[in-house]
Amino acid sequence: MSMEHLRGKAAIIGFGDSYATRDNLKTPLRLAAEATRAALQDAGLEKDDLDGLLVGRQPGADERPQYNNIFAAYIKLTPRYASEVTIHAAGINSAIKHAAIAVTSGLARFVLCVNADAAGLMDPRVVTAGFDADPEFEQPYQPIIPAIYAQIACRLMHEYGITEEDMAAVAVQCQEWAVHHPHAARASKGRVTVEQVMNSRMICSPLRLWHCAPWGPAGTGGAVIVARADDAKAVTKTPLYILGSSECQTHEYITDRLALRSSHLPLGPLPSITSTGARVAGPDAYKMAGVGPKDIDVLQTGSNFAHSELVALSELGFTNLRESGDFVRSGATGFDGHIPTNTNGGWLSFGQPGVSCVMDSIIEGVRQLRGQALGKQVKDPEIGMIHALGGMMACQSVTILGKSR
Amino acid sequence: MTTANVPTFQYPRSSIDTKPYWEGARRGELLFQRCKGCAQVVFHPRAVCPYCLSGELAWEQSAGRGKIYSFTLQYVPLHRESQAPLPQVLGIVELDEGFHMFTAIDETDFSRLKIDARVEVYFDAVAEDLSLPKFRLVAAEGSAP
Repeated sequence: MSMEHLRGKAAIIGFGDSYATRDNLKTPLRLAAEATRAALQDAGLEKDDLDGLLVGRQPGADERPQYNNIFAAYIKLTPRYASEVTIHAAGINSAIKHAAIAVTSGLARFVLCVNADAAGLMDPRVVTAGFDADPEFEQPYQPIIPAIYAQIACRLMHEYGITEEDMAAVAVQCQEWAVHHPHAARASKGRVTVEQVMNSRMICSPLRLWHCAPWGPAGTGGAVIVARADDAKAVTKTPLYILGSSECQTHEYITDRLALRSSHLPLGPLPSITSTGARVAGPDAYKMAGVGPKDIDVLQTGSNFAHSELVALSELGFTNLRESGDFVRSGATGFDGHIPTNTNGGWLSFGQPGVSCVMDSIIEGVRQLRGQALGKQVKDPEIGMIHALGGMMACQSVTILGKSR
Repeated sequence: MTTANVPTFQYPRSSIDTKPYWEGARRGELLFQRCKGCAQVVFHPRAVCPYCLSGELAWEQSAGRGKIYSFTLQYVPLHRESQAPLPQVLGIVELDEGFHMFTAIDETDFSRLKIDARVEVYFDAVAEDLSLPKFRLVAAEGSAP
């Protein structure tokens, strides 16, 4: 399987975002519509120019199927190419690839990819536990999501010698970024130290409060518009070319992952809950883009928990699991590091407003490459990577964007 | 560990394919399946073998013994109104027959909880018609009943 023929053939020609606060709550539909309005303005397009629509997973705050239809109707869009793309929340990252395929094959000319959610309008603990634990064989024991991710953390410590301090280093670095971002859920908490993280409340051992992403901001919406590279040049001076994209899913529920006893893909020794499909999606995306980890100037990872970032950094080729804690402590993922990571604070400090956390990563990646970061701006990045995970580390999606083809 | 402690307990979503599993649990038996086509152990229960897609699956009874694969102490209840004692030990157990299951582990001396620690199943009758398989530590290899 090869996608190299698609490298640089499509581009993001406009983006938009929208934010809610506890004092100014917004529905996911409103957030998505506001982000779309901003994206159209950015691209210099009219609403009726959009003939394709891809939405991410239905928001937790508005759980209705066929969300593409619901959103299209909300803004009176009549697309001829539309769907909801879900590999859990990570689907919207892969939607960029689907949009690239659509515009390069002539299915559509301008495809809107949009996603929003509003943690401020739901009780995420109950909403999400309902679909992230196996309803028959896990839910009866009443785990919260951190209890499921803690199983992975426990195994990482056992198999790779990861420590709680290693995980704390991730939280500390994410917070370093977040304090500069106006919408980061934890920005107001200020900088934290490893000691503060290690003294924070235990949620599900070994995961403490600061090892876990908070539910928030109260709501976010994001939208990007994808067009053929040839169209992009006519529309915008700042296209971001889609250089690489890949995804891999390994399971749905965590226990079920352990029944995956062999694979034709390079997932490492099985069964395992410490390896993920990023071992497949990362190399595939690099190959398509014709670049490697050294070429990535700015990185966003799906890091709902601190150890998720250690796994992502390792599987995407920036370090390895045994050295990942030292890697983060060295400042490699910080402003002066060679791979600035989760530059809005990431899911750990920017927060998870719901399923739109992946779109938040996309928006941050786009803003950094466009030189329009709302928080701290990385110096002149040329190539950015957006990694997303969905479910219980079940779905992995990687997108590589570049300022030139 | 009684129904009173978990007022918001939700019944597992059983199906016609998994009914024998829950019937077995009520009898105090931990059941799994083995594929007649490829001989793989199959768990969770289902109608079609996930490995070779054979529809010929046979039920077998597990000896109910295994080891801790992973675990956590959960300090926050899923349901805010839950009265269950915290922290609750939730883990994944690897059964000797070769399958893994998510479960609760009944242990209050948390220092005894270790990956690879030996455990055995017991059945918690959380409702008149529902028994949940849970695990407790085995004192030493071979010494438990």
